[in-house]
Amino acid sequence: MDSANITLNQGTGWILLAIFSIAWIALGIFWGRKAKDHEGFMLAGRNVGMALGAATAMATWVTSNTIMLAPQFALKMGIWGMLAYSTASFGLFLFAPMAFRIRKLLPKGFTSGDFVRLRYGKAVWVCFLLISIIYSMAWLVSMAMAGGIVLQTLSGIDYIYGMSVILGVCVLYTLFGGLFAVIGTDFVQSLIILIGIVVVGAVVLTKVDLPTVYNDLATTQPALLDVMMPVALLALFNNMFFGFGEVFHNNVWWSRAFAMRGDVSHKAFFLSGCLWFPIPIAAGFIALCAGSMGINVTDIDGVGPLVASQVLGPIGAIVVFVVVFCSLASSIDSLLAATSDLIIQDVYHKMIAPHASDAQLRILGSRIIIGLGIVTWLISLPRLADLNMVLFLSGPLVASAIFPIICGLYWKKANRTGALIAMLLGSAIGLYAYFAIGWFVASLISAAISVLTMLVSSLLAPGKFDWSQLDESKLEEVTAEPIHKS
Amino acid sequence: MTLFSENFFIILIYGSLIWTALGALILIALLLKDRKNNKIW
Amino acid sequence: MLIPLSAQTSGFSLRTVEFIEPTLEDGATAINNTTGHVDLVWSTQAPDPKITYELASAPTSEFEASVTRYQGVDTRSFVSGLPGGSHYFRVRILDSENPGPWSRPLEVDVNYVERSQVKWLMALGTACLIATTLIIVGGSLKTRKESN
Repeated sequence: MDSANITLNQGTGWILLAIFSIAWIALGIFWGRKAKDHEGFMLAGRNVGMALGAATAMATWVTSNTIMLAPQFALKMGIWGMLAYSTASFGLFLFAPMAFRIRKLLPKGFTSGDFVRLRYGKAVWVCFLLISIIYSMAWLVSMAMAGGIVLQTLSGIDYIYGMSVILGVCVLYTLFGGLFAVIGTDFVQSLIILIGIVVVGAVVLTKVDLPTVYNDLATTQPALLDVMMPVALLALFNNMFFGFGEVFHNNVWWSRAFAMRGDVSHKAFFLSGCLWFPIPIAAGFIALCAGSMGINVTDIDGVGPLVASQVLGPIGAIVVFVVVFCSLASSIDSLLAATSDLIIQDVYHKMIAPHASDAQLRILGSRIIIGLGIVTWLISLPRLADLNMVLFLSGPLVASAIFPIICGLYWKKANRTGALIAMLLGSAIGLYAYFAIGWFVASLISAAISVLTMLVSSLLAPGKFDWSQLDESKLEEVTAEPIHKS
Repeated sequence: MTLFSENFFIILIYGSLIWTALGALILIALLLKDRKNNKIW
Repeated sequence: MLIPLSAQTSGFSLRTVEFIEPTLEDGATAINNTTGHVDLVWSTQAPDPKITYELASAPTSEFEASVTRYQGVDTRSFVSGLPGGSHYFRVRILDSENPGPWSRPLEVDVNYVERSQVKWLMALGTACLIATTLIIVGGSLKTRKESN
């Protein structure tokens, strides 16, 4: 069978875009009315329940990469490729007990930056903010670009239009609805993603039987079934620690921990990990069936949509289009909300204007969401191919923050000097390793340096941190002084 | 080169699809439960 | 310099096919590959979207035990899952009556990274994972006990 046309016609693509865009914006406005103040806008009332909590964590971690890359990983690296991708869920599992601890220690906390500032002081805080904002922007830009590219591949809609619409829609409903809109739409998007993956996978299994697929693979593509597939194993732990770095440090996940009800957050994160784990396998295996179905893969980047449209016809292309749109929206909205929260709370409120009123914060928060959208749009416009590398380069940066964060949460002895050195040294050596050895070791080496530094520094100069210092509700006034005095 | 067994391959794929489908059902069930207790958000 | 196949089969010079990707490096006779997957692209002198091709591969350059990987009008194919060792590919135009001559074989040598390097990274990764889990899980249990 030849590689057939996998595109929807442009008209269909635009109609689908319009339907879902209107739906998300309408829901955003509707749910956004629940936010009575700035805290409600940022943290959805700190009362999100189990269903919405688990869904938002899972959906935010499913990006268009998950849907489009899982089949590629399967076809390039076989079973281990899919299993290795699934280990990205471990970050969610391990964040579950952390969420419990975070709620306990910072009952009135807002951001991950709050924790770092109170735990380790300003110097570490600034370093942490830099890492976090660089990574968040890299992720945001890569999602915006992916949106434009995938929409163009699937429907011929021009890159700039597709990218702009996706970004614009997410900015709008995040603006109107804050975290209520983000979490509410995430629930709908999570169901669409899960159901879409199951539908495509199930239909593929009606066209081909697995024993035949297995035998064909064993004959013509045996390395895909290799128990020790070197290419997959090489990057296994590196990608795992990139994932840990992303989840443990970023305000996207911390804000969810603060937003969920206290008794729910750890259970919801654990469940989200369980929900996420099978997705790379369920979405990826269809690529392994291509050979047995006589499908010739001419473009590895489009293998997922190719197989889906071969078995389901135009419906298959529509399903992929919708699932990809949902996975993009569920991540972009979270990033916009969490990154603007970090900038508003940590940079503006705590550093510049500690006495800003609730209304002022709310207005500025809106402006920052719009500003983030514009900056992302501008960077994404030229469609620079190397921008994906920026996301990979942020791997060693975020991985270096893993151990300062988790040691900071559980060890009284973890001290600020160790944390600062861990982040700086881990990032520097990790980045060097990226270029000197390869992308597949950078995050792992950064994490290894980070843990060694934290261990050694805690032994040599053990701190004696008092956990009650993290509870800002006990403090009489905000302790941070403004850095800039006008 | 040792290959994963055919049984492992089949169970992995069917298992992941069933698990994913269950996930959607669990989310819906949890939402209904939260709604009954007025604990959605 | 190999004699072009077109010179060997007179009258069929327009029906020769050559691989245009991947390209051999200067002086090399084979493609060195570390991933087990390769994007094969071929072309003929008079390209026509109606032409049907046949792509075959074998473990030896004599093409005993040849396997047909693809038959159709596409001019490229992504091949993956190749085990370590040498693989030979060739392509030709396929008509119902008389197939064209086979292209020059393309040799792809798949050399995966050393197992020892993989094991080293696996060991480091496992150690870091144990450390991470111990800190989080151990810390959680300890701090829960302390607060009770």
